[in-house]
Amino acid sequence: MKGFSYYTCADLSSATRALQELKGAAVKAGGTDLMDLLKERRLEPTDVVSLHAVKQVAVKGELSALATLQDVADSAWVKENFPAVHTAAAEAATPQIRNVGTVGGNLCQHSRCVYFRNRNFDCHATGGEGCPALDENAFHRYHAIFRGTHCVSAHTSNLAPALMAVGAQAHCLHPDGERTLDIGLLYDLNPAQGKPNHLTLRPGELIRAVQLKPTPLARNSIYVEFRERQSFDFAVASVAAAVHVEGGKVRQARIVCGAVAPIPYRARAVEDAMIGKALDPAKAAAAVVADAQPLAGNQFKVVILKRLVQRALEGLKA
Amino acid sequence: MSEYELNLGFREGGKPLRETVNLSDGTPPPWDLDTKLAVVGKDHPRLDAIDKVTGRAAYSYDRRFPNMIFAKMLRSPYGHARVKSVNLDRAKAVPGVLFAEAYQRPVNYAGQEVAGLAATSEEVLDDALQLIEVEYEVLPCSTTVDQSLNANSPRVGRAPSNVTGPDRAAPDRVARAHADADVVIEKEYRTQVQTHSCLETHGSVSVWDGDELTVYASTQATFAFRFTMARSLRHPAAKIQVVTEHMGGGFGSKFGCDGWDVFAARAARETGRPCRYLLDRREEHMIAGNRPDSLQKCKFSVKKDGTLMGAEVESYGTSGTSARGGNARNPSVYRFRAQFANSRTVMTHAGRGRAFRAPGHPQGFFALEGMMDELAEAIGMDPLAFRMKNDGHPVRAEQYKIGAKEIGWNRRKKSGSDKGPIKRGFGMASARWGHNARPGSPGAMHGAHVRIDENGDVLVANGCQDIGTGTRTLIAALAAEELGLTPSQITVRLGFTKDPLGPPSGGSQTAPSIAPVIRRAAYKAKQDLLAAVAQRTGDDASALDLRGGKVVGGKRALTFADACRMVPGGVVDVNMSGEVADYRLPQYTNEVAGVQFAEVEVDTETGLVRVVKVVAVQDCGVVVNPLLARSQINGAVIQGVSYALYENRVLDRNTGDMLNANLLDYKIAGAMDMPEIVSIAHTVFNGKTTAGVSSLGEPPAVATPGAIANAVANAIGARIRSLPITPDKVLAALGSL
Repeated sequence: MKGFSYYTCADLSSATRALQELKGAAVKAGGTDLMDLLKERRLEPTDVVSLHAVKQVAVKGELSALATLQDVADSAWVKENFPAVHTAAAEAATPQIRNVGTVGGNLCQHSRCVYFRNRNFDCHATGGEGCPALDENAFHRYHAIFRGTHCVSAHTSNLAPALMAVGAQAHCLHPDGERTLDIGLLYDLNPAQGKPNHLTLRPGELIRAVQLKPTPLARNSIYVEFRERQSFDFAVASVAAAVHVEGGKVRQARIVCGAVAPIPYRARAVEDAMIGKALDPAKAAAAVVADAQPLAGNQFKVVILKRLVQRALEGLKA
Repeated sequence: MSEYELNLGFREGGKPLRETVNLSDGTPPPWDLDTKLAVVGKDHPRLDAIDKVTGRAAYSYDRRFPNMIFAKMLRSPYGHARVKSVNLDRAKAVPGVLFAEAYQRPVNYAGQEVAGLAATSEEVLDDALQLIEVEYEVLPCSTTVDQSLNANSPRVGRAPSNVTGPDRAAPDRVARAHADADVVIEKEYRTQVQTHSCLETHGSVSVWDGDELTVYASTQATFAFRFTMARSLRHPAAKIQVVTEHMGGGFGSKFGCDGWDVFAARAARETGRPCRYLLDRREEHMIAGNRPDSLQKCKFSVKKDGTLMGAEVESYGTSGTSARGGNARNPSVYRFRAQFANSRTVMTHAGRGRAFRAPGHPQGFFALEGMMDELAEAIGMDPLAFRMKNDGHPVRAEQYKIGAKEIGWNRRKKSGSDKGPIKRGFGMASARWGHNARPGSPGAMHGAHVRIDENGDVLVANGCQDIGTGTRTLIAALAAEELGLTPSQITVRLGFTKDPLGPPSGGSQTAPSIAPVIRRAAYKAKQDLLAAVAQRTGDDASALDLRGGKVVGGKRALTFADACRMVPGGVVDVNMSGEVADYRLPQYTNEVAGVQFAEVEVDTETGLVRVVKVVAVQDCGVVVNPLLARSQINGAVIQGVSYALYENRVLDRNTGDMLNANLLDYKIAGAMDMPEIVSIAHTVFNGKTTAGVSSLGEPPAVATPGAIANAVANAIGARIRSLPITPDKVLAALGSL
């Protein structure tokens, strides 16, 4: 680990000001992702801004960005109104990580790409050229089956697809003020060279909270994931789905897939095609994977994703 | 001399072996089926359990000393390279860097050391390592068995070929057996590289006091460690003590001192300060050993009535840069008319293989047991009945029945019988291992120190280590049996090489080798104690015995403590060292037998395999402590499930670097992945030594992968001949990819 200056901020607005002043500073909330990156010297920031002293403010209808995954899993309100979010939080990682990992940290986590995580390799994200995972000899078993331009990493946030499926929004705080955007707009499929994450947050900007609105769509939501190992593993693929069905016809639908693209993958065209028709899980599942472009070593992810979409939709009230 | 009528074998059945033996004086009566044992054979909790779970137990990793410095090496990120230059100047200029070396040698695996530093803190060390400038000429590398088998692949080191070992053709009798068979099956089986992943990484802390060196090492062979260290430092072994009071896993990878240990000892000597080098997790995966992979080309044949005919295996395994030890071992437990195996080691640009819990066997038995199932299926015979017909081992004959009942083998159905996507399957496999009791060689007999104080305290000391199996508790139970006490009344000192010679923990030899030695020393201590008592009480010493904390057979009622106070000088001190003793006995069988059964569920839509239940029936000779024996079997099954379904070292084929050198991406089964495990420690009075204790650490690791793979094949009706059995392979076998 390279030495750095460590700043503890008492509240979020001072944290945003510190982040704006200290260019390139890393943010530490739970630290479960950041500490690994620092220890492996994948990230070598000069400054780290810690949020551990920031008090959470309880606001009705919001999840604080500093709420732990376990807080989310334990919330009866979330469980009743946003079942996809509940499951995504409750099944994430391990009990130890759920007890310290935060909502904001989960949304902002870095890629699990084994080449990105290994400082002996360089790529577009680390300021180099190209992508070692694209090589035909590469180990890209867990990489994307829907691609960006420069990067085939897989976005492994549990919460992001679930929050997108229930129509959640992020309140983002900046020294200039607060803005609110759909969770999906936090992510940038094609970030600039040398940017190690796929976030649209500006320098000095932090997620303050996630806004959740109970709706018929959100209440009929589900999260399913497939992982090879049941103890502590990232998903090979995950699906958060939600539908609002009235009179046997789909009025609203959301299908968001995790771990299959560099950012959460929302199947908008499939959602649109479902409107006004009876829920047909098999047909929707086939449509979601129709555009997949797997790599030589990860075709199985297409089969698994298709099955997950079908199982997710079959698990919803039609 | 005393004469004994031996009755060897096991209680459930089989034909006992009866023989008369004469043993010299001082040898305790041998244990057999007729012996009544008070302590041995009963569950005793680990004596150091509380120390371990509270963190009080001192592992080498935990050792800290005043003024201690830290060592680490810079390692090549390339599997094959020429080191054109190494510049240490900037690193040496960092305040706190006290010792630095460069190694300008050809690089043949990623992780090979290029430079070494020692510094006053881990932070200084880590910063200074970044400042070492190395110029590499990167060369093409060969990282897989298939690549290295190609004659045009880059050579590993200076060997003329990447393939070593015998290249023999099968003898004619194998071909004749095939010709006489009704069914001949040829298939290719593969297994992956598995890393040992010891929770306590390799390494040591060296502390000099004048010219006396103490090394606190994480090793499974304290005496071998001392020997290698002495030779490497050109320093007398008598002036080196190795200490391993507790260790966090070895599995075969910690047999002696390594380059990093010697580096730390030299840095300590040069700087006059204690020096610590325990590997980090990445180094542990890359350079501290692994189970070689395998490619096994099998040709087996059978008659329609189930008679086994020919078995022929041509196998290859990569052992990294090592020219030896990569081979799968295929010692069939079944009666073939003719069998033959030719195993070769294939070199790759990768970290060296090392012995790993039953070297070669899980690989070999995965192929053997898969082929057995394929033959049984081809002739329409039940796999269990097929094995029972072709296995002549008396112990396994019984174990097949025990295991089949425990798993519910009658629930096994034809493949794909279940409705819905989840299919259930049952499979089984056998295992063998040597009955490896080696109480030392004539030149270096193992010893023991038993000391009984006047207040009744008992100390038993041996210089060997407890690799984690519970050797400390085992020794206490053996001494307690002789002295009529309980294990918790015995203090055991292990892991100091100043104490008498003990065995290395390899080949599952520690318990079987040390047991007769401890028995003999404790027996002698008992005789000395009883002689002192007899002198005071006027009893006939030979009529006295120690049982249940009392002296029995005498005129007076005496407790053990009463007896201890009667010893002239107050101490019974038996220091048995280098004594060529009479340990040899006839043996019931020369191998330990095992059988395992597995029940799995496979999701045929996603390819996910869940192991539901494993039944492991394991012969472990005389079971000293069933609680710890079952714990060892559980551990082997856990490791076997993990190997069968998850673990896999991944090297980048372009650079040779390891891509999953951590404990997240290198997937080891966790609690949620565990089946119900039924471990049955099968007692066999096996003879060979006066204790009859047999090998246990490795044998239960042999059968698990084969049993699971066979269960998966039964579930889905398609066979996966490659480990680990991952979802993509299941989907491919089902034609879904």
